[in-house]
Order: sequence, then C-alpha cells, then structure tokens
Amino acid sequence: MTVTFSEAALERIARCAAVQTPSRGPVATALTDSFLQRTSEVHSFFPSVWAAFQRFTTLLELGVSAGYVDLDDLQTTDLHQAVSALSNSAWPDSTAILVRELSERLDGTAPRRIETLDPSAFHGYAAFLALTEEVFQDDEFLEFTRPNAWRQAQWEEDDLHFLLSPGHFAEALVTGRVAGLDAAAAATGLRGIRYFADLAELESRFNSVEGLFDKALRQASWAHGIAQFEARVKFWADKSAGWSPVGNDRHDVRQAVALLGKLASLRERLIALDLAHAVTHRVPSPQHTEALVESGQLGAARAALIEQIAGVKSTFSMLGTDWLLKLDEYIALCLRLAEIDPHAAATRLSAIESGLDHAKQPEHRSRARAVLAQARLAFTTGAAMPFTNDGLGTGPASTLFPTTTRQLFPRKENE
Amino acid sequence: MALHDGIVHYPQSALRWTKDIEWVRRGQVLLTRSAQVPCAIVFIHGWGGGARSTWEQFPEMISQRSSDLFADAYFLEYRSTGYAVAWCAAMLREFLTDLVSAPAPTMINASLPEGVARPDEFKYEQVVLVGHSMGAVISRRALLDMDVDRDVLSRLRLLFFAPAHCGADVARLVGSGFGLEVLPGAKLVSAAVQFFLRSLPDLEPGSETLRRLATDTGKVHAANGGKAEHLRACVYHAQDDRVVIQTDFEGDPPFRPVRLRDHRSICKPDPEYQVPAAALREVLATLTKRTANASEGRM
Repeated sequence: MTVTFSEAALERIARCAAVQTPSRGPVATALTDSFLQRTSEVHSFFPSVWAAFQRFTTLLELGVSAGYVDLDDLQTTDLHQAVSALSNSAWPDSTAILVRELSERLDGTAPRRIETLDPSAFHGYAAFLALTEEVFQDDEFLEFTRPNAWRQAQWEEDDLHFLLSPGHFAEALVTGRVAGLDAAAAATGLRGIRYFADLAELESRFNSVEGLFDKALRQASWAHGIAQFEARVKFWADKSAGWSPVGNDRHDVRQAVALLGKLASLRERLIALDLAHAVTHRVPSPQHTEALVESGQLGAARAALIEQIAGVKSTFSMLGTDWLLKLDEYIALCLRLAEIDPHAAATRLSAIESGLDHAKQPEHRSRARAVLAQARLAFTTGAAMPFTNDGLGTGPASTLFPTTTRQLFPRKENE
Repeated sequence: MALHDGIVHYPQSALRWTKDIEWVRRGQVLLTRSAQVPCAIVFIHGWGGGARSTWEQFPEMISQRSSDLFADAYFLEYRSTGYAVAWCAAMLREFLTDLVSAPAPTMINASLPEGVARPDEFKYEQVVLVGHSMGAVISRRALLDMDVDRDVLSRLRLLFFAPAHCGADVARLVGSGFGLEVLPGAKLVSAAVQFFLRSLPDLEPGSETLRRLATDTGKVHAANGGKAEHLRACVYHAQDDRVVIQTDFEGDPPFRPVRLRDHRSICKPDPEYQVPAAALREVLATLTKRTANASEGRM
C-alpha cells in the first residue's frame, strides 16, 4: 500500500487539530464523520467536535495555500460535504474566511492546489504545525490566554505573589507555587513568550508567498489575545527591573527589550489585521513612583519615572508649538530621576537642553543645567567608567557624582 | 509533475517509541518515504530545551539536503530540568539500544503513517547523535554505558553544538533554558533557581558527573589504542556563548569556532548560516567512508 504525501499530511493536520482528544485510527476521517453526524444539531451541544473540525479545516486551508496539501491527491467527498456545512453554519469568527476559502476549493470554484511548490513556505508550514501542536497540548497556556482570564486587576494581584523577589519567581518557576499559593502562571507565561516569538519568526519563511503569513496569523487564534498577554508580561518585566538596587546586567536588559519589541511588532501586525485589539496602557502615576521609592524599590521607581518621562515627551509632537506647556513637567520628572540615576536623567534632559530657558520655574533651569554639567564632567574625567552594567544603576552613581545628588538637590523637609 | 514529487520525507510527526514511559512524549520524527535509508540522526536538546524549539530549522535543512543528508531524523524531547544527568542518560541509552538493534518494530512503524511499514529486520548503517549543551553530556554518557558489540558502536558518531561537557555557567544556563530573557532581572532569578533543581549541579564545572564522564571516556580511548572513534565528538562552539565553558574534552579533536552566534543560535541554521549542515555532512561522510572500508575489508 502506498500513501501519498498529501494523505499523510491530511492525517498529520487532523492529529494536530484534535490533539486534545487523541484517538486511534485515521483521525481526519473520524473528525469529518463525527462533524457530519452532528451538523443538524446545535453546535453548542458539541463544542469540542465543532472546535476540532474548525481547527482542522482552517489548518487544512493554510496547508493547501502553503503547498503542503494537494486536494487532487485526496478523496474529498465527505470532507466537501462537511466543510460546506461548516461554511454555511452560523459561527462567524476571525477564522471563518479560511473555512469559506477551503469550501470554494472543494467546490471547484478555486484551485485545489498551488501551481508550484515554494520550499520555504512548505517547510514553514511544517514548523507552524509543530508550533500549533505544542500550543494545543499546553492547556495551561490556553487557559492563560483565554479572554475571560484577562481581568487585569485579578492577575496583577495574583502575579504580585511571585514578583515579590527573584527568589519568589524562582520558586514559582520550579514548583508552580509560592508559599502555598498557586503560581503556575510564571512558567506558563515564559513558555507563551516563546510561542509568540516563534510565531513571529515564521514570517521570514512565509514571506515568499504573498499573504501567507497573514493567513497563518488568522488561523492562529491562540495568538489573538496577544495584547493582553503582552501587557501582563510587560508588568512582569517592569517589576523584575526593580529587583536589583544596582541596576541590571546590560546584556539581560538588551535581551528583554528585544523580546518585548518582537511581541510589540507581532501585536501591531495582528491589530492591523483586526485580529487583536489594543489594551489601554496604564502609565504609572507619580504617587505610585513615590511609593516605590519609599519601599526601597529604586529600580522599579527608576523604570516608572523613565516611562512617565517618555509619556510626557510623546505629547510634545502632538502639542506642536505648545510643547513648552509641558516643559516644566518634563524637567521635574527628570530631576526626580536624577536623584536615583543622574546619568539616565542627563540623557533625557539633553533632548530639551536648547529649550531650557523657556522653563517657567527658574529652579528647574538651574538644576537641570547642573545635572547636564555633572554628566559632562563625569565623562571628561573618566568617572563614568565604573558603569559596567546597564550604566544606569544607583550603586556606581556615587562614583559618578562624588558630591551626592542629595547634596546637589536637597529635598524639602516635607518630601 | 505532481506537487510533492521532490519531497523525500513523510510529514514530520509524533515520535512513538513502544517502550516509552513518557520520557520522549513530545518527541518528533521525520521519516523518509523510502525504506532504503542508511542513516539516522538523533537530536538531543539541552537543559530546558525542546524537540521543536531547539531544532526548529533542522527538519527543513534535512529535507532540503536529501542528496547529501539522506536520513531519518529523530528529535527527542525529554524532561531535562527535573532529573539528574545520569537518569536522562540511562533513558537515552535504552532508546539508542532499540534504535540500533530493532528500530522498525520499536519506533519507526508506530510513527509512520497508517498503512506504511518497514520490515522488522530493517537496521541503520549509520547513526549520528547531535547534542546541544546538556544534550551532549547525556549523549556521551549513554554511549559509554551502552551494552552493544563493537561493530554497532563503530556505526555511531557524535556531533555537538555548544556542549556543556566541561561545565556551564549554571545561572546563565537556567536563564536560557527557562526563557527568562524577557526579565531584566533574569540573572537574579537564575541564581535562585539553582537551589531547586537536580540536574544543575551535574553541569557545574568540576562536578562529579563531568569528572566521571571525562575519566570513563579516557579509559575507553586508552582501551582502543587512544582513539575510540564513536566517543570522539566533532564539537562546535559559538563566539558569543556565555553559558558553557569552551575547553576541549578528553579525546575530542580541537573544537571548531563559530562566529557571530550564541549558545542558542549556534543550532539555528538559516540561508546564511550553513555550519550545521556542513558539520552533519562531514560527520556522515566519515561514517560512510568507514562503512565502505569495512565492506571492502570483509570482501
């Protein structure tokens, strides 16, 4: 007996779609048959059958587009009937268009195979299947990304248990619990980052066929909750940035930024396709920053200040010539940052140095100039060299600024 | 011409080993559509790695280079974080014993598409173990402990990318294995994780596990006139690898340096980075030459 590649591929796709309900024997036939038996029934009675068959058909459509399956090599009578039924059923979601496209191929109104095989797209699809299978086997991740799991206040509260310190995160990662509380989300979230990063990397393999990557993104419904996922992971990154009072390793910071950037690009792509929705980003409030300082979380306070400064700066372009209205607010934040990390503050003040004369508060002008002068002096004398980490820590700052920032910028009694 | 005429392998699918006790439960396999395949390549990931995530580009590389890399490929996935190196090596040894002695009834036929089978007597002429990081340590340990005859051993070869056989910066290994890259405070978590996991002390420089690995390898080399070829690994180390110690291991030829790659990306081939393909080709060529010489010797 010989088995064509397409026959084997069909079975592979079916096993991937039905990974949570493994069965013996040919899975593609079983999936199609059990769907056909239930087409007359309300789909909500058999959600798993419908969901598995929908996953199967959408993966199959993508497979035909990538050249992984040639429908001419397959017996498709039952499949045709089932896909038509699914296509006509009332279950509109973001993947419905893929079902319709497959239905058209099976009707004969669209090509049943691609003309020539593109090796990169072909193997990219194989990698996409492997990723999909792994994701579908990961129940914890699927639960993690389920839309109703995204009540931000709830997960912030839950996640704070393991974000308390590196030791708490490590315990959560290895044992799934922290002091008796469930903390499985730590490991699940890290696995999820890899899934998203791997999905993003498939773009280069699908690029040779126009629209194929977008089609893959449409099929990957598990990825459509990326905005909420990203917000949660960014919350972790922000918290972890504050663990070390002496700043973080430059290499680690660079890696984190690169990975978050990858997530952001993928999110933008999904939003552009109307497959994901942006979440409102909450800029930390000044009160929150002061609370961090009071509790000794200087790294976290520094990160929050930097974010607030970036937020104010982003309004400059919108305000046009009125940007000076925000200048004092910008300088005040930079000066607060200078108390924790003068180097980072000086870098940000340099962007508005030519406009300093327009600051309304004279104290802002003089203190900002002092921060900039100290930064220049430090580099002239080579005192900046001790910055071997990300250059922004508080520890080496005492070397950079022999007269402490406390002396330079004495706080008021009530501060 | 049919669309898939040039495709040498069946679709990549789940590896089903009949004796599995959930050890390679998420392994993958890429089997040729022809039963006349001489070679098996077994991929063993490192600490915290996976069959897909570590070797993602390799199925494409092997499929596309079927003219010089005509082989079945096994991508093992095992629990590397929670078990000691010795236990992982013992399980790999069991798997390899089946692979070299009776692969069709123990793993190939259960993994092939329904309706396709290879004869029970099918055997590979050559087997290459490709290990990354900790995968290199358990591969060599498994070979040292395998109870098979010399002829079988002579058909085996080792190829390592960023091996941890001389020890690793365990904190960085944890960061890489757990995917902590998203946390700016990753190094602190890694340091804390060390208190919890069993396989990590085995990979510290100078550990008893690594010391015994070197001693036992040295003994086998000595018993084989200085060179037991199946234990002489072809090793590649990456320029930007901050995880493993890059020292030559007992009896191995000097390692090959790979520029502009790190601990993970060293085993991520792409159109510009073809070192892994060249390395596999080279190892297979030496094995093929040995097989040819052995055949001539028997004639």
